[in-house]
Amino acid sequence: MRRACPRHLGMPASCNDADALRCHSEDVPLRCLIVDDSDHFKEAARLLLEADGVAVVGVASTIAEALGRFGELRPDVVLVDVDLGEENGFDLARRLHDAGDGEPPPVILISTYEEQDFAELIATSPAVAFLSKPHLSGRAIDEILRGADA
Amino acid sequence: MHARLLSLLLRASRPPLLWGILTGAACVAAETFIAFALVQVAPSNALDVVYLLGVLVVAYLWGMWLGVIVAVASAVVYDFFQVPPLHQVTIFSSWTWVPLLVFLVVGVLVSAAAALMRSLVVEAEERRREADLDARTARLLLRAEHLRAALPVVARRLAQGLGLPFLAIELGPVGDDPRHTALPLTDDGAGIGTLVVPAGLPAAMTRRLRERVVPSLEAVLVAARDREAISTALAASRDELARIAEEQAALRRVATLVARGVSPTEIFGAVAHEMGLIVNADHTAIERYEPDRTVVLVGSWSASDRGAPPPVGSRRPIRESGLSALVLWTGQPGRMAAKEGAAGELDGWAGDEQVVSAVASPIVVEARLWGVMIAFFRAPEPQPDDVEERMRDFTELVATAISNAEARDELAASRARVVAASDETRHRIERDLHDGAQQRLVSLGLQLRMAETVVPPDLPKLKEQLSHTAEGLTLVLEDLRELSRGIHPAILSKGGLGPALKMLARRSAVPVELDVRVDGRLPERVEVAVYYIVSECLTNVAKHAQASTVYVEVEAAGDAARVGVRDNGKGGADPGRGSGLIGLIDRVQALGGAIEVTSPIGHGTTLTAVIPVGES
Repeated sequence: MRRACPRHLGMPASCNDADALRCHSEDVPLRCLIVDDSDHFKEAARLLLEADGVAVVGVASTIAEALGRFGELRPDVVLVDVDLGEENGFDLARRLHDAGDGEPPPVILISTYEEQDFAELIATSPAVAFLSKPHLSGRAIDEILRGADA
Repeated sequence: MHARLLSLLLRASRPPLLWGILTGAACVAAETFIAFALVQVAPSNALDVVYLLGVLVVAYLWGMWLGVIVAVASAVVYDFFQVPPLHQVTIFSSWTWVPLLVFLVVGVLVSAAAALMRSLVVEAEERRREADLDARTARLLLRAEHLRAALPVVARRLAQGLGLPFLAIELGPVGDDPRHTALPLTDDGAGIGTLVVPAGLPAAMTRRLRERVVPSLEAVLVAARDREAISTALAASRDELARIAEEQAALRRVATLVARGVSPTEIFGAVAHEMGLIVNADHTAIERYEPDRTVVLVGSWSASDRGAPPPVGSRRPIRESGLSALVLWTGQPGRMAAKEGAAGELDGWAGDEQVVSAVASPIVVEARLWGVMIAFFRAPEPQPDDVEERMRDFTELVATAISNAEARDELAASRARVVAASDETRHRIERDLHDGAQQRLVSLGLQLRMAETVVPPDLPKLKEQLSHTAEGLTLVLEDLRELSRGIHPAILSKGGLGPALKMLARRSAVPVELDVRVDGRLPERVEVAVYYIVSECLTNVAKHAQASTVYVEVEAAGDAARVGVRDNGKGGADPGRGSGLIGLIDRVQALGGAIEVTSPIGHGTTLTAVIPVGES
């Protein structure tokens, strides 16, 4: 997957899933940081997203680790699990939002829970969207980001 | 007339002798005239009987000797006027002296009989008066509340009755003196008092006093003394009964408080008060021994307003020489005078209050010396021996109250632990489900989807199979989520009460007006309780109330969280019916809170709960 951008429609050349995805002009893969405390999930998500053409540049399990990774990697998007063991994904979303010296990165909250389980918290979070884990895909992320940009 | 005659006949003293001589002469003259009148109808030698009447009268009233003289005079006059030869005394000259002598002998006998009768009549009268007097004396003495106070009145009456110018009854021994004679009054040889009468009384009176007055007075005095002793004993036992009743009432009042399970602080106050009144103390204090050799004042009372004792809750080190220390070392009740060290109790407050003595009783809770109850007295005289005994009843009640309160606290703590453990377990199961099965299933789903994408296009069946399996997995995940939600609301742990209640409100079948005023997070047990209260209420409203709106208010202020859930439905809900509500009541009570449901028919149902926040 290339960076999805509505300004560059009709340039599908190198996309894996050319029918569904609209890609960035530079053909640069979307750089993604996954924050989750489940190793199983991180691995499965990485494989899935890589297959979808998203570059998973890093993974983290805790807020501190995530903030560090974010500082190093400056990913295009951060997938944050709502549940980080003792820690809280909503807190991380807020801190990521507040941390950046430049424009805050788009944060997508992910969870095995459904969106309605956390609707009130999601509504007040600076995250751009919530994505239920079973529905995770490069395409879903792309759609969210395009929705956020629009 | 009759009374005067009677009094004349019953008079103890004789009329003057002159009156007797004149009466005798008059009688003889009158009898002579009667004899002259009767001589026409009766033989003259029977008329001497007429003269016996005068003899009888005079002998009765003036004694035998004057009677004999009248008899002799009557014989001479009779001889002169009635015995032939008439108008001359023939007694010495003819045989007529024989009937005259007979008359004389009869006259003398009549005189003697009359005199004897008189003395008997007089004595009978005297005895009657004495009996009256005895009865009056007995009545006065036996009716008197205090024997000593009644004695002067009795003495005066007795003096009047006996015709004495002076008479006194003393309860102690009195020595003779020139003007008075002392007659000892005894009971079986033991002196019980003295009868004091003027000296030099006639022998008859003295004898009468000794033989009759003294014995009856002794008997009455003994009876009166016994009666007084019985009265005193009765009064004492009545006072004792009243005191016991008062004490029992006080104990009952305290016991009622204990049974009602009011707070120990309130019990300490009540006991300090009641005990103070029962033992007549000026101040009372209840202290608790602390492990660090200090005591904490947990209750106190003062009979008067002045000199308020140190505040309840104040702590001070145990003074080695003090009463609290004594009880702590001995484990027994103790008493102490101010100068021995009691004055230093309560940081010298007892000394400032001019306390003279103090009595202390240990408070033993389940074989453990818990504290001490002290009564302070200003009165200089020593306190009765039974003060400790009477204090013990109160200390036992205090011990029961403390023991109950501790048991209650333990029970509450254990209930709270049960609730907390159950919450903890549910939370953990939910977490385990989430972190384990759910995460695995999600990962598996993702892998399946990935596998699906790499299936070659010439194997559509496999692709379809994989897709089908992935969908099945999603359904399983949804079931699991539903299960998790029922076990523990994830949003509560993640976001606290506000978001969790908003979620409940959003999901409620009946529209909810929600007002949550909670800053920050509350202890988890409180959040869970509030969540379940609102959740259960919303379920009940949807099921039974037929309401169009539910108003939910949650406020955490100070040391408690308050929940109010009110609907505009049909009311008439029975709090005892729904097992869900009973579970809530248990949960709230386990947290030391209270829950109340009012549901008047036609006016909706209102539930209010207050849950202490305390330290988590």
